[in-house]
Amino acid sequence: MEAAVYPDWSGLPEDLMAMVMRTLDIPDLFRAGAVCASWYAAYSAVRRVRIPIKDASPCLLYSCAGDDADTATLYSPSAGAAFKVRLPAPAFRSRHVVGAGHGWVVTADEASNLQALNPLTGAQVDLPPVTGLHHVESSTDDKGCPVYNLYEQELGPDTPSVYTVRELRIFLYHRVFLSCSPSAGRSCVILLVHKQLGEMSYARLGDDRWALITTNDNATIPWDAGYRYAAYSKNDGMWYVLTSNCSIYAFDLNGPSPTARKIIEKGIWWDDPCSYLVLSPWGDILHVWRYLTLRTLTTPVRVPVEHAHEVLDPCSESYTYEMKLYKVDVASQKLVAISSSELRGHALFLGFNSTIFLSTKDFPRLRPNCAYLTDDDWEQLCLNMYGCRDVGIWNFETETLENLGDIDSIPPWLNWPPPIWITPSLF
Amino acid sequence: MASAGSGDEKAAAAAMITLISSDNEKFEVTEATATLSQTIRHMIEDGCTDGGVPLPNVTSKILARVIEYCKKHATAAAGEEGSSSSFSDAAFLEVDRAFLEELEEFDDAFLEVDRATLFDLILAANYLDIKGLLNLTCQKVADSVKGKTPEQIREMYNIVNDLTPEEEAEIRRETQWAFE
Repeated sequence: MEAAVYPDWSGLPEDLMAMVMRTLDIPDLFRAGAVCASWYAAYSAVRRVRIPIKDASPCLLYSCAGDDADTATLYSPSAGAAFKVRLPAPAFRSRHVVGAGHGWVVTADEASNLQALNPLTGAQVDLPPVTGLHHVESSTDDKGCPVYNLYEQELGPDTPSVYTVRELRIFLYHRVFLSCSPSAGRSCVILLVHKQLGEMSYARLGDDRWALITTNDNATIPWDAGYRYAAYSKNDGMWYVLTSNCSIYAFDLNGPSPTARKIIEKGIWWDDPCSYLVLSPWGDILHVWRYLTLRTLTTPVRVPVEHAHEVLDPCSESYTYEMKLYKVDVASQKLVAISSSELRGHALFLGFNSTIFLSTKDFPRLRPNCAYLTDDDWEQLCLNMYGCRDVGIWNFETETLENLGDIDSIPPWLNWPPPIWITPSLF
Repeated sequence: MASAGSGDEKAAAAAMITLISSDNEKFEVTEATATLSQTIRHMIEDGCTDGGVPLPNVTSKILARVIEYCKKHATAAAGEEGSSSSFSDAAFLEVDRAFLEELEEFDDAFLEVDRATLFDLILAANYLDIKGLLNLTCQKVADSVKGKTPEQIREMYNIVNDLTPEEEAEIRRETQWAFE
């Protein structure tokens, strides 16, 4: 009788096995699904509900009003479906979202410190602290409350701007870029574009401090205008960085000190659109310009009472009214306007995330030669955290912003934290 | 047949029920203990428990463990008044914290069983429809596979990999985006 010590675990009824699997973290769920045929069946049932995506296409990550503050929603335009993940503390809804790449999102907590977070696995690592930046120090105000002093060149070394620990993040961080998944440890370089005037600092994962790239005393680093946007090329290990006067430099952050080489200088002056740099798989550098303007709402945006003082004008919201595409012609040092067909069937995913440029060939539901937009107007965010989020599909042909998908299939997003594009990954 | 009208409920709470295991062993339990099982609760409501409740799917060894669990948790349920079946979150909060801790310790100790017993407990909890026990035992299995590779899980649970090469390829395809 004692021979029955080994029950047939593969014979546990599927609904019971599914119960086990429902509580597993996502990486464990995938591994459990590969154990045997009956576990695979249970896994499939659970997965259809928990992660209704089957490919590596971008999802919009955001907080949904119906959920608690720790839960994030991922909506996949390719699958036309959404799923939820629970994230580790601090509450997702309390964070600012300032970057994403390689399946990870970079957030700033209520003390304005940065973390990288993989929403699928729940893995989280701290990036160097905000006080590790060259111009930020901890202090207290006259009531003894903690504040940050931010030293800005034009105000001199004796008159710092004072920010509450919670609000500094909104003003300080413009964008954060990652060279690879933070799961690679110290190989992961983090590039930070920040106040004042688009300075850049960088660090390796695990560093205590950020190294300022843009110092006046480093003659090799061009500093005629602030930096706006960066794209990392894993082909040559260089960071392609766009300045606010439309120059592009290739930065090498692999050596003991940063070096830069000019790609194109002052390509064109423009009326200050939001701009993105895209490294195409066929070797071109593309420029994407996004023009935003304000409109007045008849119904004011609903703002939580406790944050009412942070909102300048609840009737004002920014939206995209025009987009333009350019190709960088390095030989002639010019920007050449291109039509959307020259995206060659790719879709752009633009926002606080590192730009995603994806061929739609393998993703029949994705719209080719379009731009999937989400809000990243940090200046507008500074003024109105709770304003409308500029989210949709930009159709270059009709010059209109269309809905992401069937509105009924998309759980509605909250305006805070800003929704961001992320390609889910377990690494 | 709903013999226990509202006036009889106090009396019914003290009534004893006989449970009969698959190997014909009899267990006398209070109705409060027995009705943690929704299956038995329905039998009582239908008035078909005279002469004992036969449980042909549960051995005496497992039934004894299940009863041990139900006794402990019935006391917990009684602690917060004989309200109706499911505990609401709010009601939970009101239960004495120390008692909850004790209950948690009990659950942890209760789960210190070999994998064969765990397997049988899951099946019994499912058959008897005891939600708390089912969650507890399923969670135990989930905890045990955390961080393990499929091969380690197979070894631990003595499972033969019966996936066909086609299925293995399908799994790889499905998970490639996540594991690349």
